[in-house]
Amino acid sequence: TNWKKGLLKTSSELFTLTYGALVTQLCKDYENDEDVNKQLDKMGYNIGVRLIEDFLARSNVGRCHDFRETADVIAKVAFKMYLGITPSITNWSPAGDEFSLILENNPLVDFVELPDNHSSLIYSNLLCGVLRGALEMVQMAVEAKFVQDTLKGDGVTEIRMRFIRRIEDNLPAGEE
Amino acid sequence: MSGSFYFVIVGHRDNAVFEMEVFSCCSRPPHVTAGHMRFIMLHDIRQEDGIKNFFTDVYDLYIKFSMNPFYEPNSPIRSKKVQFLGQKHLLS
Repeated sequence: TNWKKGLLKTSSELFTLTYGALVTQLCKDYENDEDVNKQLDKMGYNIGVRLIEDFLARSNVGRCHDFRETADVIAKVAFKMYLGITPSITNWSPAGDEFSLILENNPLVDFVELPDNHSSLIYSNLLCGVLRGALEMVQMAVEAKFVQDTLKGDGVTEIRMRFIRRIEDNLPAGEE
Repeated sequence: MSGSFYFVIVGHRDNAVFEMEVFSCCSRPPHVTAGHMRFIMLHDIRQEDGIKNFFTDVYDLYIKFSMNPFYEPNSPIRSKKVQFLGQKHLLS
């Protein structure tokens, strides 16, 4: 219905603007891009360790048997649910422990242009923290990092996901 | 069609936020300042549709520009796109 579409558009703009305000405030609070990147990762981590519960409850996905299933769930269910986009999965490593998520558009960066004095800023680094935190709660230690970014002039945005190890102990949801 | 146009965006304190002259024979680099806006066009020939389309496009551009979280209000705006729009709508 039309009013729902209108609401979705309004709230997605508000979301984009809110994220932008967060990043620019961090840039003012911290003196260098590296520290901002770390803060974004940390914030994302704290979101991810909580978001996973909501995700598992709403999506009803079962336990993944391998990293390939995990990749599918991340791209086709999680990204779709929370950001309304479906990245494609490419560049699997031969061992099956690394893959790339290719985002053709990223709602976080609508209208954003990175100024010259923030060339090391990983603007959407919050997403990497979310992925890391969420997967840690389902016993997977992973590394997520941006290797291409449309904000920096690349044609697409690419997040590289690497499986580090299975977490055997049931650690409580921690805050870093 | 020849003619010259002077386009200015005027801020709340009657300051020129963005100024641009568009000549058909040569282009001068736009002198830009920043602020909030009234869009004013001074022109010496009638060009209703061109001006209307120019205003619509520049306004869209301005909105997108001000949505950039890194844009500091009252800092200089540098935009070559506006000059391109001037060429497109006012001089053709």
